[in-house]
Amino acid sequence: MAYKIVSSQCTACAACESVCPNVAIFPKSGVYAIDPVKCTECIGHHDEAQCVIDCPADCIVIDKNVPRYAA
Amino acid sequence: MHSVVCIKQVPDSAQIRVHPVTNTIMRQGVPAIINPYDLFALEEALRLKDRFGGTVTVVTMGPPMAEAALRKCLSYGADDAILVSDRSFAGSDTLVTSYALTATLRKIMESMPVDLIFTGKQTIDGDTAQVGPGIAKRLDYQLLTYVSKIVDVDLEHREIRVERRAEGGVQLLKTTLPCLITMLEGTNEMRFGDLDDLFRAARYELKVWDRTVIGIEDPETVGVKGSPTVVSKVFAPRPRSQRAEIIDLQDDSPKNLASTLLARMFTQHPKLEREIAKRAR
Amino acid sequence: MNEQARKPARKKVELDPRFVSYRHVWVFIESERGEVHPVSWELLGEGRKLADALNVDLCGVVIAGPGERGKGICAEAFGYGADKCYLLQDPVLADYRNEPYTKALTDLVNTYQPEILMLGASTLGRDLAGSVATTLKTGLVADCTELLIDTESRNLAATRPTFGGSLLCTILTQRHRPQMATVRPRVMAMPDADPSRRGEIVEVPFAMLETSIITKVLEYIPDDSRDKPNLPFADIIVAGGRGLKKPENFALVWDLARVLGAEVGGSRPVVQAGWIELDRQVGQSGKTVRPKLYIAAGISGAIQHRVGMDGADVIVAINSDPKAPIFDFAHYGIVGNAMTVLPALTEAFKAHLAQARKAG
Repeated sequence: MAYKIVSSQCTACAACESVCPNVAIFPKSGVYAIDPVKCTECIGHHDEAQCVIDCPADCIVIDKNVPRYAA
Repeated sequence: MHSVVCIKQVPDSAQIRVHPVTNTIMRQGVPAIINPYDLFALEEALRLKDRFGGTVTVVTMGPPMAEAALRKCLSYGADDAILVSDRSFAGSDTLVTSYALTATLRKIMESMPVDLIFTGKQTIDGDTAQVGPGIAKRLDYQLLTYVSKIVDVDLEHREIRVERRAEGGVQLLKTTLPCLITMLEGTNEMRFGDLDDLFRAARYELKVWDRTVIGIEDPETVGVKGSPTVVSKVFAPRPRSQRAEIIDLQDDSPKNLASTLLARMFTQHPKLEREIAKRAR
Repeated sequence: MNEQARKPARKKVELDPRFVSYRHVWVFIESERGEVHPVSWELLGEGRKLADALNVDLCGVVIAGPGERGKGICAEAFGYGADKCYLLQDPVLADYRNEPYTKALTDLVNTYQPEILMLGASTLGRDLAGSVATTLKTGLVADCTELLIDTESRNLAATRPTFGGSLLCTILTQRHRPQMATVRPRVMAMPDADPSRRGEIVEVPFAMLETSIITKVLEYIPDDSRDKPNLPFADIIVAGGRGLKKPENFALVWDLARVLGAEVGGSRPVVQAGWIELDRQVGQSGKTVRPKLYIAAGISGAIQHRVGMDGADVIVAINSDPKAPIFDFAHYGIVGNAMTVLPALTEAFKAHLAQARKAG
C-alpha cells in the first residue's frame, strides 16, 4: 500500500514534497502526486506518515489499489 | 536611468474550468499569461526610458515555463530579463515572494544601481497587493502605490513627483529616488513591440538564477516552510440554486415584457417598490 | 499493520511560541480628514462575531491628525461594537502616507499584541496592510469574502476568491500572529449602530519627526464628489455590457438610471473600451456593489463580473443569449434585445412612479 494525494483537493502548497523521507512526491499537472513504488508509508523512518500530518488540506489517504507495504 | 519591473506569469483566469459534475478544478491546459496589471507597470517603465534613456530590466519568480512571459516583455522593448526559479520556492506566499525578489534586486544592484522599481497593482490570482510594499519595506525604498501618473522625474536632484489615487481624491506626492511604484490600471496602453525587438527577444540569452545565486542559503526561509500563510482548501463557489425567473410571454413586445417584470418584481419584493418610489425623481 | 490505518496523531502545525500570548481582535478604523470609510464599520460587525467566537475583546485602531475628531470616531466605533479603541493623533499622521502610518500601526501591534488585525481593502487599507504585514513578517489574506474561527486551533480561516474569482480558497496563518486580513467594502453587512454602547479609549503617544519623513504630500485634489460615482454604496444600479454593441447605446442605460435615481455601472470590457469611466467598473477588478436592485443589460455574467455584484438583493438580467451565465444567478431574466427592452423599462418605471406619486 502507499499513500495517494486526492488531486481534486490538493492546493499545490508543496508542504508534503519536502518532508517525504523517500522523495516519492513530485509536482504533476498543477498539483502534487505520490509515486506508489517509492512510498513506504514512512515505515522505517517515522511512526506517522509525514506528508499526511503536514498536509493543510488533509487530502492524503491510503491508496487502496496498491498492495499493503509489508515491513 | 535604470528601472526594474517585477512581473508574474499567472493562469489565464478566464480559462479556468470547473468540472461540472465533481465541481473540481481542471487546471490542465490552462494557458499562462502575463499578469495584466504588470503590463501597465512595464509600459510606464518603457515610457520613462523613451524620455530619459537608460535600461529596463524585467524580473519574474516562477517555474521554468515563466520564461515565455519574460520573452514577451523583451519583445515589447525591455532590455534585460532575469528568471528566478528554484524547486525550494514551491508554495511561496507573497511574503516569501517579496523576500526572494528583494534578494534578486540586491543581486542586480551589485552590477548596476536601480533608480525605480515597478510592480503591478496586484495579481489576478493572488491579489494581496503585498509584493510591492514588501520589497519597498525590505530595501527601505519610498513606496508609492496606485500611481495614476508620473508627473516628472528630476534625475539631477534624484526627485520624482507623481499623482496617486487616494480613496476620496488624488494626492500629488513628491519623493526621492530610488523608490518603488505600483501602477494603477488603465493609466496607459501597452505598446506593440517592433520587429527587431521581436527577433532580439527570441534570441536573447535569459539569466536564470536559483536560490543560491540570489544569496538565500537556508531553504527553510522560502517555499511553504518560509511562508506564514498556506492554502488549506480550493473549491468552486456554490452556484445559486435557483435559476432566473425568465419573463417569457406570448406577446413578447418590449412594453409587455417590461410591465410584466415590474408587476412580478414588486409583488415578490414590496420593499423594493417602496425604495424606488422614495428615491426616484 | 491493521487494515484500517489509524487516524495519525495530528502533528498540528504549532503556533510559534513568541505569539502564544497574542489576544483580541483589532479593526483598523480608516479615516481621512475626520471622515470614516464605512468599510470600517462593516469590519467591526464582522470582528464582533470573531471576538465572540474567540471570547476576546474587539478593539478599534484610530490613526488621525490632531483635531480630526479622534475621540468622536472612537465613540462611533463603540456604537458599532468595539469594546476598546486605541487612538493615535499626531500632525505627521494628518494626510495618509505609508511610512508614518506603517510605523504607528506596527509599533501598536508589537506593544499590545492582537491575534487578528483587519483592514478595509480600500487603496489606503491595501497600501498599509501590505507594508505592515511585511514589517511584522506575518500572514496577510486580501479581499476576504468569509472569515471564520476554527475552534480547535483558534486559527482564522479566511476565504477569498482566486483564479480571477472563478474559484474560492481558504487560507490559514498557522504559526504567526497577528493574522491579518483585508475585506473589500460592501462585502460584509453593515451592523446596526447602538449609540448607547460605551468603551475604553487608550490614547497612545506617537513620536515621529516630519523631517524624518521623505515623501511629502504637495497637494490633495479631492474628487468633485458631485460627479464622482459612488457605486459601492448605491442602492440602485443600472449596468451595461458589450451586448449594447455601441457606446451610443449606453445612453439607454443613463436614461433608465436617471428615472430610477440610480448609479450607472458597467462590465470590464466596456470600461476598457472607454464607453464609461474606470470608477464605474463592477467586478473582480472593479468595485464590489451590494445594491437593492441591479439591472444588467447586455452583460453575459462571467465569474469576474459576478463576484462584484451577486450580493445585490434583486438582480434583473437582460440578454439576447438565453444561455448567458447571468441567467444562472439573476432573480429575473428577459431574453431579448437590450436596445429595445431598456427604453420599454424606462417607460414602465416612469408610468409606475407617476401613478405612485398620484396615489401617494
